[in-house]
Amino acid sequence: MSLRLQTKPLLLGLGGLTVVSVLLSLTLGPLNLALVDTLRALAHLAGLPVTASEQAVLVIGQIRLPRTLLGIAVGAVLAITGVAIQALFRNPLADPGLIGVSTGAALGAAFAICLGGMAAPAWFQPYLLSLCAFAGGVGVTAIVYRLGYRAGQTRVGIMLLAGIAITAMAAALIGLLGYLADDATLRQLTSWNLGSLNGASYARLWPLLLIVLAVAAWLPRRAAALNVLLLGESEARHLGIEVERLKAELIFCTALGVGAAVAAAGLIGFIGLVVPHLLRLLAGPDHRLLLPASLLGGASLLLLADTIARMLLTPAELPLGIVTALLGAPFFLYLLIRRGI
Amino acid sequence: MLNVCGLSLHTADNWRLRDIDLNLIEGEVLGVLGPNGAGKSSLFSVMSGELSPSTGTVMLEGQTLSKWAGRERAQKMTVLPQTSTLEFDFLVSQVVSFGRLPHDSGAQADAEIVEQVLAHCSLEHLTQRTYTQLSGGERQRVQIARALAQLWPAAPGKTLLLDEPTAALDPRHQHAALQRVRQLAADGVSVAVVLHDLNLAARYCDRLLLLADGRIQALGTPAEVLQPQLLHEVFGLEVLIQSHPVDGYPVVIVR
Repeated sequence: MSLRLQTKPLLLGLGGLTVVSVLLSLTLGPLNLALVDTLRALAHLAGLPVTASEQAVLVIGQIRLPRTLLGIAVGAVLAITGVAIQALFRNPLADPGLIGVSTGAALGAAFAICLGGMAAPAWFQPYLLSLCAFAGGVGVTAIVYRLGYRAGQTRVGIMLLAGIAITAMAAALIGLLGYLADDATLRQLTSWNLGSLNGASYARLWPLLLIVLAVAAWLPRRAAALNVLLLGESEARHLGIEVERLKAELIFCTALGVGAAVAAAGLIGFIGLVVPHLLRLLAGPDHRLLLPASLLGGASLLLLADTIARMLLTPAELPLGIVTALLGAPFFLYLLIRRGI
Repeated sequence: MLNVCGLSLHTADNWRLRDIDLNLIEGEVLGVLGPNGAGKSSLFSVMSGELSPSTGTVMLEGQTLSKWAGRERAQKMTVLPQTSTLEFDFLVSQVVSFGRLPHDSGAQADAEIVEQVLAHCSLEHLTQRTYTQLSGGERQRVQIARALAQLWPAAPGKTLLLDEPTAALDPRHQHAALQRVRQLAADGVSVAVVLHDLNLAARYCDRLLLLADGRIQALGTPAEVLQPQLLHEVFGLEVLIQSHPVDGYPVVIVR
């Protein structure tokens, strides 16, 4: 027998956790605001007739709200695409990075950081990085997908191996770019590779939010099909699922979602692995519950990690990727040992 | 009802199947026999639409198999491949409920069907266990129940393909599973089942298909197919064939 949380309590609990994480993320920082001031500032920003301190409105509106929204979007999409990739590989320990999307995005970003300055006009600079990272992520995933595709079938085993090879190649190119770069560029490259919600702005937020909303709306529609896919590809086919189409959808959603997330916030590891796994332990593997739960869980965990990253060395801040990796990697090892592999 | 006509399958410089003509008949259980590598699984894959034939056709209810939309095909035809590897902790009742996916019967009707199937397969005591905790034989019984849930209700016009469904089962559950298959056939379902045990095949099948080297060696009633000379040629076994003292079907005794 295994203890399973029911749908309602789990989603309510995660919803509550998300609200708490959002409030913590808005309230805490180099300038600690009282909760009341935060809520007043939020109400004021929402256009309600509430007076709030000008400073709070400025800090919340210009810095912390875009940062928090970015955290929600990145965390949610990393976790939900993690679920998609684990279903695709029918392995609870798979990660979106396996199909090359993260490293591809990193390569795109490295090109933008090291070479972009020469070519692009100044007004375009802020967008160049995101655009290159997104294109890199989607492009490399497309190559990996193409390599695994033959005679009308996507062979996920081949995709996995192709992903490893392409990832190694992309990492080598990133290394080469870093080796050739000057000190300032190298520093920028490093900090981007470690991931951060720093420098969030509404302009960079909208494209990501749209993609995240599309992915978050699409994947739950396929929840029942994802359940059946875990039985095996032939079994799913015999139950009437158009398996090749489903796999293409999963890969497309992941490339888009993770590509956009990495483009906006750099490389942030382990969210896509740890959140779905933790929720499976709590609630079982049914995707009808797992997908919405992962959305909320991913958003909360990323916001909490970001709050820790900001608070630990105030006023400096730790790169977010370091925090998620330091929390996530030991947990992953624990899962491996627990599974007895 | 499934019709196979002039079917050949060529993969990797190798003819896996040659010139297969075969009709599954409503209300009949067809047993597929043959040594390892004879082409049983290839035939199964082509009949279930997993592989496309190199030549020839496979028709389900008069329409080419590949022309069927996945969902409609799954409503007509249920396929159970050899034991699958499910690594996720679904409850037994959830796994069985997956069989209802292609149907529009509604959540409540589906829940009732799952309950009936679990009772029918004597799996009630396992419903709240997780699949990964089960033994190999129990997993196989859950998979058979899933196939039954997909087929439910058994009726003429439905087809069931089973690939070695009894391989992991103890003798009692082997007979129980095949008795259930017979009941489905009695309700009008056309069934094809791959088996290794000649005596189970003789006991539960209306017709037997004997495959070797991708070709049909014999197709007919158990008494027609289970001939010492034929079994010697195909399996390299010296056998005696007796009649069952009570029920009369052939019994194969290896010398």
